[in-house]
Amino acid sequence: MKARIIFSFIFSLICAAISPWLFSISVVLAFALNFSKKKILFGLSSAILAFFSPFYPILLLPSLITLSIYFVEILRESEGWVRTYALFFLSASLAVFFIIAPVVNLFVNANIAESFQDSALIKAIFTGFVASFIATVIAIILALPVSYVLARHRFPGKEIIEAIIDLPVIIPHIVAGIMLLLIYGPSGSIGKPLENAGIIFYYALPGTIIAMLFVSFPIIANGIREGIRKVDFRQELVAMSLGASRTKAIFTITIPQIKRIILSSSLLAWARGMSEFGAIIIIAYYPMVASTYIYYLYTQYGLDKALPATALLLLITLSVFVTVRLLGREKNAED
Amino acid sequence: MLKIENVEVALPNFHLGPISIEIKKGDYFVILGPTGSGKTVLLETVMGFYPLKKGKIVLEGKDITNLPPNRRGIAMVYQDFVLFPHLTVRENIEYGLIMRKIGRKEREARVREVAEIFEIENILDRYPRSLSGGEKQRVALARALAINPKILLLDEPLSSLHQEMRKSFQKMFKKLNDMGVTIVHVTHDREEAAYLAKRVAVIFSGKILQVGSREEVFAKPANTQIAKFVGMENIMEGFAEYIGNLTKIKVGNTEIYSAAKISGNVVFGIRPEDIVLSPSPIQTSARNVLKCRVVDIEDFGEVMRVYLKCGDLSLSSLITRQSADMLSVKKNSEIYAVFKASSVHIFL
Repeated sequence: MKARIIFSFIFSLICAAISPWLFSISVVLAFALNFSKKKILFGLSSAILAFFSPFYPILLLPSLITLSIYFVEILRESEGWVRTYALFFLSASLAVFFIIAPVVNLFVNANIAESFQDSALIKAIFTGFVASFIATVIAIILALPVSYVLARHRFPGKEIIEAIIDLPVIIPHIVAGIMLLLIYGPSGSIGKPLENAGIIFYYALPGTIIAMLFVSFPIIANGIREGIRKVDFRQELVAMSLGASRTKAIFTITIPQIKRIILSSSLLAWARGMSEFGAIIIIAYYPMVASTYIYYLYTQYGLDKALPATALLLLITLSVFVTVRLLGREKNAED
Repeated sequence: MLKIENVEVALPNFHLGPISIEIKKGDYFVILGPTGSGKTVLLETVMGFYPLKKGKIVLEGKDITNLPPNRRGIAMVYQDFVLFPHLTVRENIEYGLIMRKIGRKEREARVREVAEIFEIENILDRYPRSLSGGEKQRVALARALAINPKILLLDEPLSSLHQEMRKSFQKMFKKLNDMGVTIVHVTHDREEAAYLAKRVAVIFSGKILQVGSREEVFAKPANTQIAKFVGMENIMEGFAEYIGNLTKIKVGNTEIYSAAKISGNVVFGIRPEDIVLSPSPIQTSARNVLKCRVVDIEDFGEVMRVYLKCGDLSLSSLITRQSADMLSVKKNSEIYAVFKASSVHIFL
């Protein structure tokens, strides 16, 4: 039984590699050989859809993912479970496909090796990394007290403050850039005095950082707020009764319990900063960060030049993302 | 030792006070009140978690009204323990000692000491979430006592425990009190209060209605509300007439005697356990002997509640199973209810 399932799975994989029609036929065959009537219907419909070649690339991957989960579960002999979730598998695999297809497609079409020779690109990516990192650290420092108050206190006008914090999320980023330029620019009400003091935002790294901070702050503030809300306030009260000052109670009791939430929202905020384009291009086109540099490549030299850079940026971002996620998980498993 | 003077606290949806109570050193002070009466808020106020609207709190002669919680030296154990989930049992107990900047050696000795008292030496390196309810309670107590608090506040400490475990914890609390720990214990359970308290305060909707020794509060509740709450169930209205050294109370055509000296319309109560049943009108020093009919019997295992109709009086009596068997109490049988004049408590 098992051998037959594995065989039909491999067979349909091979067929898929050769042609859509063969794949369709193989899926029908696989279902006919292995499954009951209902499932044959399911297999048939996906095969028929796959038969229409314009849909082929769209349906190939999801059907494969669905089939894989299906087969794995059947091999684990939990058929009732499989039956219940069959449709969910299909929709889940479509959702995964929607995100993964452009990524895979990019890596297939771009020559990453080429991008390593572009020192300006490496520099831009590095600048973006550092700027976003600094923006994230500033955001955490700024967000902690605000989030704490929002999580722990009820006061008139609280909703308004929460709405203001969320504002950067809904503002188009170009608009955000223009607003930032107006206030932090050379003649802005904050930018001018600071410029006299030697801190220049316009076309300089602080400008990049401020643009990133603007868009990533809500992510950090909301994340930390929700985290603090989950920690029972009375733990701080007990800590205080045991001799801790209020600040000490927060830093020894509440913050250690939301480390993971801080980490994951920082990661999101950092990635958000890295991916920011609209606000940065207005306030600080130079020094170039990855997104503005890729835009520059695309507009000046076209898709061919932009592709390798895009792929490299994607690769680096993904690996940082995955690494931090894994590190976070390991730490969590310890306690 | 601890004086709470005219304290008022205004919270968004609750008003506490004005409250005035005094707790003496070595006291076992039970604050008894129904759910939502403000018991926890009162304790948290003593801890210093809420700003006072009015009044002041004095601890050992020192006004602590505006002292932050970390400088009061009062420890509290919550009903659900509120252990620090990210710290081990040892770290939980050590927390207060570290905050007090106590040296490592002394700290370890203190942890060992309290761990021994509460028999938790073997779980010191575990995390709270792997502990049973009883163990959590022990850890919370150990953490609170590690800092040698001036007063230990207990917020419904037994309500989240099994029946069996409650008894052993009650004994432990008594032991702690005997060791010299001043305890303030809030509960809604009158039996807990009756067993543990030296002194009792009764709290209803944010106000203290009566303070006194356990005997006072249980024997002479200040009003019917308290009486019902502390278990005085035979509460009735009648007309009192003071005759010599006794008071005769008429309820319909039935007459009983009370030791209180009063005349006019009164509300009175008799604790069900103060009513003794007898098969015949025995000669006793008790002034009240009433012929009754058994209306109903409720069986609670060890004790039974017998509902009686005695002329125009409806009474309920609590008797042990043993005496119920001896008396062979049956529904509709005739029986005599016997109780002292001093058991008939008149509310003023």
